[in-house]
Amino acid sequence: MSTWPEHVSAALLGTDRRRPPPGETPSGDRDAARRLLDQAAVLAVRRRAGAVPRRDGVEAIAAAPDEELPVVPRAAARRLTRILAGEQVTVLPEWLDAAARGGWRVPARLLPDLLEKGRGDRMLRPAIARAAGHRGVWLALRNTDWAYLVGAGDDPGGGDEVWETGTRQQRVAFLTRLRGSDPAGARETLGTVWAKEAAPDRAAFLATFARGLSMDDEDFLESALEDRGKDVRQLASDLLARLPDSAYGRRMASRARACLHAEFRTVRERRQMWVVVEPPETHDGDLERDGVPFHPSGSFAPAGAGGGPVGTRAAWLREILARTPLATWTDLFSLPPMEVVCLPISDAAGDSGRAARDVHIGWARAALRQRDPAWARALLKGGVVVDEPDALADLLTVLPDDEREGAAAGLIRWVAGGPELPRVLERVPGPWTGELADAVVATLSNAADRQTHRHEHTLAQLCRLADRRLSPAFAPRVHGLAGRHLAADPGGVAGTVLTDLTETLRFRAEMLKELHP
Amino acid sequence: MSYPADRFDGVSEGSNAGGRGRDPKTAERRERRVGDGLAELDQWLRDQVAHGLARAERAPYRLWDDASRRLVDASAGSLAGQVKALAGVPRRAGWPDRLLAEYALLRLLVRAYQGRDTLPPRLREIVRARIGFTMPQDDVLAHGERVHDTWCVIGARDTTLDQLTTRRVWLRGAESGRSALVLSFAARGRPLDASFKVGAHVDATLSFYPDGLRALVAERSKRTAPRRPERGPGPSQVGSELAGPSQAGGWRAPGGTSVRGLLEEYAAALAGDPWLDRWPAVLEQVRPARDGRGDLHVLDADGDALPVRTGDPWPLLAVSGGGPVTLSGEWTPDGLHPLALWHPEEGVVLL
Repeated sequence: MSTWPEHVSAALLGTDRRRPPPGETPSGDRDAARRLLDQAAVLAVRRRAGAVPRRDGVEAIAAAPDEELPVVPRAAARRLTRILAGEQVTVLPEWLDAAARGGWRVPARLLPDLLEKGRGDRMLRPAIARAAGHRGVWLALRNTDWAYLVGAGDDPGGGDEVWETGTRQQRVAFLTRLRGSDPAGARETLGTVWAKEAAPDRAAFLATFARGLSMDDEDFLESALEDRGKDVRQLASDLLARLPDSAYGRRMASRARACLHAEFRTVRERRQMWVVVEPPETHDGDLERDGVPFHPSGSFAPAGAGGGPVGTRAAWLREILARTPLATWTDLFSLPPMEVVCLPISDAAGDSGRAARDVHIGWARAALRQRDPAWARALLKGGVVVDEPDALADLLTVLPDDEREGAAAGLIRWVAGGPELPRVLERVPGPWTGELADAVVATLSNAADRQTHRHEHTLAQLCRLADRRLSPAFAPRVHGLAGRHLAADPGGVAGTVLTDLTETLRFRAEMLKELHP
Repeated sequence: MSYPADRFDGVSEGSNAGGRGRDPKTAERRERRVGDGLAELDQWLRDQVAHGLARAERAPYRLWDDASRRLVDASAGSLAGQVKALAGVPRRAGWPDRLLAEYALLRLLVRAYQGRDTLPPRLREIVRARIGFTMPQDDVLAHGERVHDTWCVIGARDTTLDQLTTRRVWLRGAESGRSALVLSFAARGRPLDASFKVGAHVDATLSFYPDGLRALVAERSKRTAPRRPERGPGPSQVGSELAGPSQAGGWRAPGGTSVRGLLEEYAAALAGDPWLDRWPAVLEQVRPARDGRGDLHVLDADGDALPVRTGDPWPLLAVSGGGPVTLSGEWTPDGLHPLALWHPEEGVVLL
């Protein structure tokens, strides 16, 4: 009998135009079309019954590496299924972080949905990278929609070969990991290819030096100050500013000392040490080379109460101070940080407001960059830079864990009622517990009590933050608060948002219990 | 191929529909109407092939809809559904082969019906069912072959045609190795029978239709099948959640075959029913694989591969991680449509 393809082509053209191929046994039917169908039926069944497996040209997909971590407990997996389906979806980052902290990983069957979530939401990606296990990276290597995950965490998605063949993100992950275990080795690895890499790649690779940064990196960074890439130069100067003992630090310190000096003045018959400020007159190539551009970012921003922009001279001053080793000031004034930040400040013309502000902001940035807890503590407690709560909130991250809560609570009480409260809270990482949580609940209560439109808006904003960060242990207190407002004003905004917050806190309490290591 | 929706809304389609009813005249009238409808279909099939299938590529859905409607008028409901579904074929790759095969097998069905008096009884019932004659459930329960076993629910798939949703639940007997298909029907958007959870093991007696594949539950034991002893946390813990706590067995995978074993099973089944185009597969120790064009396959321990047809390969890839799993699916002429997989750590995962 003729082959199947002949029947298909005859049928495509039509038996009116082409005679059907001859059949094996003479069909009883004289009609060509029917004869073709009868023959095709036999062939079709024969083809189906005779189907054989493919043996060539099919390759198994390379198996995923073994996992080191166990999969989360069953109850936690069930809850993640609910979260991914949309229930209380804002808690997803906390679920992932808690799972990673507990030494668990996401069940493989939930990875496709999880990776799809990260595709639409950048903020989720680091948390996904921590909890998705090797399987997550393995999967992401096979789906370009999920490529963001490859190299986003510690797993570069391959062995040493990724440094030669991987994507930029994979190579960064490789280098970051190497910086963690062998910073000198990473520096040498990068050095061998440095000249050949494109500027954006050089910048991305140099950024990995933030891990394991030490004085051994100084020479490399100094030479990077001459790099052709602007971003590379900026990054190199930022990294050098974190090394107070470097030549860079000494250069900045001598610039800074030219701007600030101590002067003794007698005010109301008391002899006092004053800090007198003289911002730099000019900008030069050396300053530019050390990472202070002619128009530092923010130099056109409003200067605050005084009105008008910060101005370039003040902006240079702030940048220089931000890059100067803080020990410069304890040495210069022979005082501990707490007392230095309390010194009265004025400029040569006698205006103390603007000058003090520039100096304090510069010091706050330096304390953050140099991760100096003594200075952070002093700046927070000294009550300076009050109207820069963002800068203050950042300083909280420099404090030791056991101090952070109290300091944050103090800060919250300070700005309570002010319009900057949500902005400050935004920068205080969770979980909010103890004294800090007390302060937050108090602000919630205050905002709920005032029923103006503005306070309702603030309350909703605060609840959105508390939703994710307030310790779930405070659910009963929020519940009580919600009950009071529901009773007073059923259907009111305060009662509703506080009830929602209670529900989320309870959901998180159960969630964290399930993920306890 | 579709089946008559005889259980739709729990009302049987009339006990005399099968021609064994009390009024032989009614049955006779129906047989004649079906005969006329099939003769018309035969002419239609002939015309398609005479004028050339190439025209199908640009033909409107109306071409098949009209032919389908005439079969509905002729009381050949199942056949009508099949013809209507053919409208989708010319929109897929490799459609000329598929369309010719479908038309040829339809013509084979027409001829089989015309010569029904000479067919062996089992084949005659298969032909009648495929055309749309329903067999009363009472007949199946009273006369059908009965098989008692612990049945593993290996997969389920819902399809909606017009306003009717059909749920196909595939079972495989642990002792007998027998495959079974349990159908349920509901109006679009209405809940379907949910008594079989994929991955569950159900102790039951099934009563088979004459085709030996489709079955009804005659008796379902209250006792659930024995659970495999739990071995600490992990597999049994994670897996049983999909099967549900009330269903026993948890993650225990059903017994399966190799790729060759599946193809042999299917060939044997075709010998008894040449129109059979969907066969339950349980493949053991298969890994995901790709061919040169990147099309997904499964590859067994012997190095035999089959193409996989799925819109979403990611759950299969994620759970297997490239490693061997037990995979269930519907084997069809265009490839394996995956239904579920069993993994020692992840349990039963629906695909």
